[in-house]
Amino acid sequence: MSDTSLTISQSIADEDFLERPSFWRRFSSQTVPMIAMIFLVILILTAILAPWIAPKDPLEQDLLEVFLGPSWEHLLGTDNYGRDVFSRIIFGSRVTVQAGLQAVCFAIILGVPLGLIAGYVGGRTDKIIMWINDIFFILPALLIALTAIAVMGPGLTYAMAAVGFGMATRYIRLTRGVVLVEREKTYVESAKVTGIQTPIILFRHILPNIFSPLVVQTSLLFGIVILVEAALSFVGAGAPVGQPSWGRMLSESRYWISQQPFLVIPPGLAITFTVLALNLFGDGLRDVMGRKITATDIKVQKQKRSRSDAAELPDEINEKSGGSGADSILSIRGLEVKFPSISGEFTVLDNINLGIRKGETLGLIGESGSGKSMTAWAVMNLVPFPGKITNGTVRLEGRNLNELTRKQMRSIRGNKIAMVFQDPLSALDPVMTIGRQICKPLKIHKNMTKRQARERAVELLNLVRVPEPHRRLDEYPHQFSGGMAQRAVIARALACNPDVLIADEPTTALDVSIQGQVLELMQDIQEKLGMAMLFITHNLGVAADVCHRGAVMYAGQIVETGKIDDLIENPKHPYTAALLMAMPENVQKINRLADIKGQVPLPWAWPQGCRFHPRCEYATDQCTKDNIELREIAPNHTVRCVRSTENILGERL
Amino acid sequence: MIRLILTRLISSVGIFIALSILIFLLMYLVPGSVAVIILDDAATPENIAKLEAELGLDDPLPTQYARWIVNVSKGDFGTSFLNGRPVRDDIIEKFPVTLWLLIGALVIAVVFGLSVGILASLKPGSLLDRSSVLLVTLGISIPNFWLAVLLSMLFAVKLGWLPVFGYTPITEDPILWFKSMLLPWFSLGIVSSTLIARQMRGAMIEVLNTDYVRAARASGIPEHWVVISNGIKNAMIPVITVIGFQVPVIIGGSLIIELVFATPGLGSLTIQSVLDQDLPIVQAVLMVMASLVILTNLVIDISYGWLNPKMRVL
Amino acid sequence: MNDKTNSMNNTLLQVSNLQVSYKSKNFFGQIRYRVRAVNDISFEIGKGKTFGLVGESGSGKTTVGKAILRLIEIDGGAVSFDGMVAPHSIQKVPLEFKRNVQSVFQDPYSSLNPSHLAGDIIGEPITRHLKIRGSERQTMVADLLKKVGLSGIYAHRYPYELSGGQRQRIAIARALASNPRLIVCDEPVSALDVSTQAQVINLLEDLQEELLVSYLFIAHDLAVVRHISHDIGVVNLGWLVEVGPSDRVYEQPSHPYTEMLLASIPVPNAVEQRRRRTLRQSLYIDADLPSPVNPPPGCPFQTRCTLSMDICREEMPEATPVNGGGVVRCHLHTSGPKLEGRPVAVLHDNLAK
Repeated sequence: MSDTSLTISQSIADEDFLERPSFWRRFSSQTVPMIAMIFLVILILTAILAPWIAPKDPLEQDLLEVFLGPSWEHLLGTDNYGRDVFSRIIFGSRVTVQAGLQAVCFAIILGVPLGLIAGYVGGRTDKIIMWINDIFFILPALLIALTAIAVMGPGLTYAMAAVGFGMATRYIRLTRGVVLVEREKTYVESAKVTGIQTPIILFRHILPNIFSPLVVQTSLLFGIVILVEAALSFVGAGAPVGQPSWGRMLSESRYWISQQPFLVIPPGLAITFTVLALNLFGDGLRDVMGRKITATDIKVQKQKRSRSDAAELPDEINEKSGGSGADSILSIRGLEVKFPSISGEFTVLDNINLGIRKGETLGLIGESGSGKSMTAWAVMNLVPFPGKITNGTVRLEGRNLNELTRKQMRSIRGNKIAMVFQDPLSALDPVMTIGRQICKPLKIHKNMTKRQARERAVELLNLVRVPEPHRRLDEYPHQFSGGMAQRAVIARALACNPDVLIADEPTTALDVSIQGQVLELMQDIQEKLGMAMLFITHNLGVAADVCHRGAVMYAGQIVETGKIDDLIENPKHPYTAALLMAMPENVQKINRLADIKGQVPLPWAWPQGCRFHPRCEYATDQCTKDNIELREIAPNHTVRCVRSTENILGERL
Repeated sequence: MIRLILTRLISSVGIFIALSILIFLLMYLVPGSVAVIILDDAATPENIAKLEAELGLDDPLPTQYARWIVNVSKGDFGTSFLNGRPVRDDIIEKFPVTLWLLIGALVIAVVFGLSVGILASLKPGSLLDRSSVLLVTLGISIPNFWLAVLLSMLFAVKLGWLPVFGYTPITEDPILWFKSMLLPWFSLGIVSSTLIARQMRGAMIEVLNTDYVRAARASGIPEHWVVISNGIKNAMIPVITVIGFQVPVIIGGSLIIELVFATPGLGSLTIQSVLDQDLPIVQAVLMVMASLVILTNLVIDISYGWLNPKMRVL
Repeated sequence: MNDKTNSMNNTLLQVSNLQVSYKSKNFFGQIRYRVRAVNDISFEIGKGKTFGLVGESGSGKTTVGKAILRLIEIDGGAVSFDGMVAPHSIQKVPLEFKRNVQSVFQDPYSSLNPSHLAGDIIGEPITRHLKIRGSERQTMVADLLKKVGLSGIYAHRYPYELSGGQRQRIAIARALASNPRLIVCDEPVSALDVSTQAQVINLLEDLQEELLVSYLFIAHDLAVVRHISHDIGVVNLGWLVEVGPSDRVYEQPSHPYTEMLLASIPVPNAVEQRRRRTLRQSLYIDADLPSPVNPPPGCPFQTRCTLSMDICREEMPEATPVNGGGVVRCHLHTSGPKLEGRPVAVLHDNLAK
């Protein structure tokens, strides 16, 4: 539910779903992997067709023409026997391709099934396979190959089989790892529930998901195998003397560096390019198979700019909508945040106006994708990369935070404004003790000594009712339960007595009984310390419990603000009303929950006019046209709806 | 923590015993008989039988293994098939050279790898980042022996700053020793450093995107402190394993690099004995190298536990 | 309860004295330790009815679902479907049982195979159980998609191209594909946004009306469970502490644990919220849940219950009937104040006086 990361987990679009680009089209749109692939195809063709395309016989000696540089006659010159280097490179590709294929095929045939079995069967079988695997895994591939040669005598066949054997350990590890992850996914359980037989689950369900890491691994290992083959031939233990091989050519060229240094270059480049091509090809495959579409890839429809500049908005409106400019400790004016994408920018926060007084809790209410967390990050001036604040101001006690230097802003964060997060266990650094994490802001902002900070930390843990604070300060986050961890996060946020506390869904990840405790705690603390609180939540019940006023957000805009009781008892925006009616707590058991059709649109697909209109049962033509302003319909109650005065919602609640 | 060290220790010993059995068995995997290799031209059936009895090849395998491993633990790896010299003398003479080579290369790999990875991760997509990615991809693809040849062409043949090949013992002249090791260190370390850099960059980018790093920034903690104490510490947890994987890679690579620079270490010895099928030496070298890998893996595993508090309480 | 034959005929699934434990085995198959996940749980689900199972995380509610789906071995007790007892060994469960009992899981991102098209995901049970392939299967898939409110083009989408709500609809269509009579829904809406959650709950209700399918609805959210269920069971650390008709459980909880859960739900109603808060603060101790690995003897709620007596720390109470239907496992009903089936609220009234 966090909307800070803009990876698209929601649907790309609904009815206007674009044709899914085929695998090939997505791959071929990447330049570098395409070049790598063409190189590899040419290499394989060269290996097959070597006798027909090589200009010279690779073994034909001409002692009158030794150490020639590159020329039209000999494209890459000649070697110490006057043999044509270019032809030798062409023939050398045969050894490379053949050795690589041998080892990798052997490794896959041995490794993948063993990995599948180890991962899926588990238990003792897994332990035995993995123990044996560990033994071979630690041996360098080259050493394995050399050992094979020491035992079986020179030649590539056994050596490559041995390398393949060594490589199989990598496949076993990889396959097992993927299976262990996939096995836990509920689609496997669903298949079991349906009564699908184990072999079918393994091969039809799990194997296809292993495919992409496997292909990538293969391209990388192929590279390693080629290097090993070259190394073997380089030391004279690989390809037989008569057969041209890149490694052997490189090895021999060393002796003639003084006569013809160029000889070192062609075989080295041939090996490097081949391995490079394999790696780049593998990277390209991984990117295409990764199946991730990120926000920056999205083509944005031109967003019509018809914003009313918030900075010019009369102060009274702000005063009535989100709280006053005068007595607000924190005031947000016309805040706008944009993210870049391949076809221009898209807006994620559009003209946000809010204000919070001392001792007041303002609820920011909305579903995921509404921009409520982004608002919090914008207040902290920590909008996730590559987004940026493009307009508006955030003022703390009248000071414009956007104009501060980095250093000044840092002295605000954690000191004047502090934050509490949704998932307490991921908001705490797993390798640092709780004590250090609470003490650090104290040392930075309050210049406390280690001892003072620790005393204060104990005090804070007492305040948030963590038992045995002295002991718990030295523990690590994973030793805390969710509820206790959230208390520690709250303690950290309170450390410097902030003026404003931003709480981003602080109880969503907690069990309902713990949620109650944490909410009470936060209210108690606010009463005691009197700070202002910006409370972000998707749950109107929670908002009703802790907030004085509320602002409902939808698709990057505020659609309704008012006293929390007014919002809940007398909502004026159809979206607020629908949210209330979608909560089972609010609906009589026999009644249906409100059906809000469709889903929250993504920032690049915000509709024209009222952003809620495609989902609104009261929408008229008027709603689809212009941007709709936030209007004050009663004291301290503003609504962004053209029909707000018509009482369309009636007495529904 | 003590339990973690103990379990790792036990499993290391297990792997060591298993490997030693495999290495011992090499002698029996040879097609025909070892005696044939030793006797070469003089291999008549009677001679073979006589030699086999002499070598104790008639005894049951477990007895032979027990005898072998007891000898090995005393440092006795037998004698070379070729010249009859005790293998131990060769190993003792050449091991320190290789050890220095490995340590130097590993230091270069870790220092360069980590710093390039960290620097690249701080500004993803920047020029520095993109050029480091390019360099890394290139580094993974270059065969270390070719890199060695190119480096020596440049720094030794062309510029004359360093010796082309050869080795000066440290006892003789430390400065010359250092000079003679520089090229081998770099040719061996650079390739591994690119792999470490790639992993470090990925891990850092991931860690710097986590909630706890955002939380640290939101508490006003200075960026350099966030990078060092939240970023690097967490990113090292996966990277330490990758560093562990590089140890066998560097050991494997040292075989070739020693040959290129004519460094008189185990590598040159191994390759010569492989080509000669001089099995006692091959066995000895394998035992030494396997022990090195097992030992470093043990250190890596324990430091993994030291870095990761979740492992520590086990 | 008194009309036994009637209940026999209307019962689709009967779970009696179910026990499940997770074992950690060493290399030689000896048990190192076991964690009791489910203790002596009994309930039944009527034909075309919904039984809701609520509890906090770690309460064992998901394990109950898995045991009924026969995904894990059970240690004791029985699961009988339509009068037939399912075998204890998960290998021997007949195909017909699997056709009849289907599932919808919580996370719509992991419950659909990322490399299969939605159409194949829905079609797989059709092929497996109804032996239908080809164009006939396609028609059936299209029908199922329509039933769950999606158009036919969704058959050609991969899961990663769908939103959470759409994925959950696909999962429901798959569960319906083999014409099952019971669907185990494990937290089917907890990963969804409020508006999407309402859509999926409405869909499940509509489908029940149309197909007369039964649901075992497992969730942590009592309000959602109450909305959709006919009967509710409350699980605490592997024990079923209260069962009964959903309105009775919701309005007149007879176990303090149930009451605490109810009082913890924040409601958008200031008066009610204040009442709930006072109730919880005065009656329940803010403590963490006891560890399920090493539970204390006696009632699992003892650490958080201000009403607990000595006996609560000694033995687990037996199930006693409740006025208005169902049973409760709480010593308050048999000793101490002897509630004898009345709601816990009675005690608060007394306390208030």
